[in-house]
Amino acid sequence: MSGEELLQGTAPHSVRGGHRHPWRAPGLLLPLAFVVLLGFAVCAPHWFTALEPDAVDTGTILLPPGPSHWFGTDQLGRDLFSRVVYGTSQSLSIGIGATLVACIGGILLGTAAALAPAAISRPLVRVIDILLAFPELLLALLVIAVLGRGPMNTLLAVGLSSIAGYARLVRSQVLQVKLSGYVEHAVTLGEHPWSVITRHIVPNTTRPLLILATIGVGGSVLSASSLSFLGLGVVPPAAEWGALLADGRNFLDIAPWVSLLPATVVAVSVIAITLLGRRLQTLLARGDVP
Amino acid sequence: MGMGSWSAKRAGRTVGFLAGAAFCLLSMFSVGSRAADTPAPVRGGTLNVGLATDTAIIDPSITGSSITALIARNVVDSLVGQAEDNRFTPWLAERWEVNGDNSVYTFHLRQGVTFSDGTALDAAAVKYNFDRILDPKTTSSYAKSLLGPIEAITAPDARTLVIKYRQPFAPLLQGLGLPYLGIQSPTYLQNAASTTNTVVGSGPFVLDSFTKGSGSRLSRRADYNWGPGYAAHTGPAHLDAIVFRYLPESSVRLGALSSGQLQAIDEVPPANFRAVQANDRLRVVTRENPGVNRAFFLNTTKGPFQDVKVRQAFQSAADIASGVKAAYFGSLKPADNILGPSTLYYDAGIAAKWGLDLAKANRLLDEAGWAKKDADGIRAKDGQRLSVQFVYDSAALGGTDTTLVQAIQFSVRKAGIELKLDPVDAGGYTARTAANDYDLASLYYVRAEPDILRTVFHSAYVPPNGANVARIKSLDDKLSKAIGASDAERKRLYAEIQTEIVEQVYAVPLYVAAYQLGASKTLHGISWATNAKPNFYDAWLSP
Repeated sequence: MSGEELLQGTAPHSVRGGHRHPWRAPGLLLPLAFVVLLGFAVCAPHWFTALEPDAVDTGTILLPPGPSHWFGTDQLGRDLFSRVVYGTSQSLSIGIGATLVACIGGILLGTAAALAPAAISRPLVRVIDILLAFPELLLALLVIAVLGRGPMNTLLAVGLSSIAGYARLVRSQVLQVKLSGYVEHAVTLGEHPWSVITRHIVPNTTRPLLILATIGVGGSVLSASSLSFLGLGVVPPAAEWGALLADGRNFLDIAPWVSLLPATVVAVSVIAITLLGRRLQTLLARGDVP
Repeated sequence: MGMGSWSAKRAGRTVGFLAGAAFCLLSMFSVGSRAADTPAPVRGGTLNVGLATDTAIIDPSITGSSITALIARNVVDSLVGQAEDNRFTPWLAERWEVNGDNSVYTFHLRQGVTFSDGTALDAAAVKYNFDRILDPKTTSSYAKSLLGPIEAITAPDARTLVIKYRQPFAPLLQGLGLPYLGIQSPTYLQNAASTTNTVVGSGPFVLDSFTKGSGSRLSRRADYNWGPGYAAHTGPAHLDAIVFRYLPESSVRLGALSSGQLQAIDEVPPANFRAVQANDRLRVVTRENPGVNRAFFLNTTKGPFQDVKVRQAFQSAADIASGVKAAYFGSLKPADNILGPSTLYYDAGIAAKWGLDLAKANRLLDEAGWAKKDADGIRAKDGQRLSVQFVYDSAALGGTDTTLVQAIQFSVRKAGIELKLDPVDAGGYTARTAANDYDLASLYYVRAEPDILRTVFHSAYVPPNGANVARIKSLDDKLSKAIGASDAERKRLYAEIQTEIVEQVYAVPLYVAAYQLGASKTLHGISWATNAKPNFYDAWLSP
């Protein structure tokens, strides 16, 4: 580790010249680079591999990793690397989409729980508490049971099941912001309550929400993969990461790479996204202080 | 243990005699070859069996579950036995007569048989069992269908039972040999509030407990002395007890077998098939299922598959052989006919009538008007894509079968057919097939009697009434006529039916399903029932 890292760790409120250092820290740059790579895999998977992810070749089943198949092949002779690359868009779009659903739902529910008259807000707070008491995956399973499977339903299931956490954060933020000077001013000046909410309160609660959402994307990718692993997510032959893991599980003792390599990619991606979120959180929090 | 040492001491003296006896039995009954290597069965021990599938009901007369059949086979006896070579042997009935047109069956029962609760097994008891199955209140479905169109059952004396039919019915003996028509104690049946979790019969074992989701425990009946004619020995069973355990995760099942916690498992995972065979303490015994092979059934009443040319094109484009080889690691045979080779009247000539031929598939689709291809290479006609939905219960169709379907999906795509997988849950599957909202479905049925084709292709069984998911009506006459016809006539009719199914492509056969028993080499004397299930009456464990 360089002195830069050390500096960043021990002296966060450094002088002006050191202000750029934290942005160049490997703890931020490495996850950022990986996330950018994932972005490319989503937009242009064919840049990474010339092989089709669904091309079956029963003559080359369960080949170990090698120069022609970087990750080896699966039980139908499909190139595992292509499947992981093409699976990125499935997994990430479910992860990001689910987080968006959760954020929007969280903002609506959280704001209402904070600002509505007690007759409405009290039950809402209780509902949020009850939802928080359930494991997210259990709620997601419930949603899947009602809606059926498929990528869109997986997205909704993961999104809806994690609304409660966002709603609680938004509610506590709104309660803080509500008491702030500028909101009091706006109310005193006779601004319409809706305008106060949309122009002053909501925008000022979004920053912590953004951080939570960035970290949440990682969690959502994991939840979506779990659903696919249980056979409730995407429909075969879609190459979603969790589905790849589940497919390989029966071959663990004869071809461990079929599940271990996609598992590694899932782990590294979730760690990278979460690290990025945490770093941004630290940096933004520091920017707040001046 | 005591029994074990007794055997060891006596083994030297008795080996010659037993080997001779085993040889005679072998030549007479052609039972399992294992008996020849190890001619001195050891009495005692508990056999632990791991099962991949659970059953909800243990009473064989009110369920069609094969797991129930496997377990209950040890608890209930049948009127007749059916040997591995499909020959009928005496069991509870010493002998029987059938009239010329298969409409009156007279059974003469063995004397001195008792149920495990002490009730005597006489003609009235058998009559009570069958009357109960025929009673709509019992809600029996499969067992009832095995009995057929019965007019009357009479018991003129304690040892004689007469079954009279409204119309000729040939498959009765085969049905009677199955555990679904096994005889239960009438005393028990009359007094039991529910038979879901219990069964009391006259078999070599007594059911001590059955717990859904966990398993069953059976213990030997010491006074049993009326085994089936095909068995290798007479008298009580060799094993003290059999424990069936429900272990759905294949790696757990396999691990428990390798570590010696279990002596037998079913559904050996295809990927580990070779490894188990190579293990010098284990072996795999495979028994091909008779009956309707695992197949795609094409919905002939809806969408593109209404056109026989499209169905034939699908049949010619599907690369089944290499798909089955890859998915099942060569452990199962690709099917060449709708019936499995061990089914009665299986026609070996059908295999030559169909097969992989991509050029033929393309030509047929061009002829059928699906000439244009879109950007994805999928054919279209009048603005409609050649896309078909395969609806399946994702809990029932295993991962290996899903792999196979994906291989076929890729091969038919080369001909411009889009095969879409549409996984649903069990309720969704029933609803979709009942609502005629599918293009393909998949199933298989285990039975050695070709009358099973009636269950799958007669119009009376179009969903929601049954399993005719191809929704065809054209075979009704032949299927009904074949039930009661003479042997030669049945053979001719079933050959015609098999030909029509493959030529008109009501179904695309995939593979011959098989019962794969992974077993420790200490387990001997397994014989096989005609429904491809292991029998444990002759089984024994070497120390």
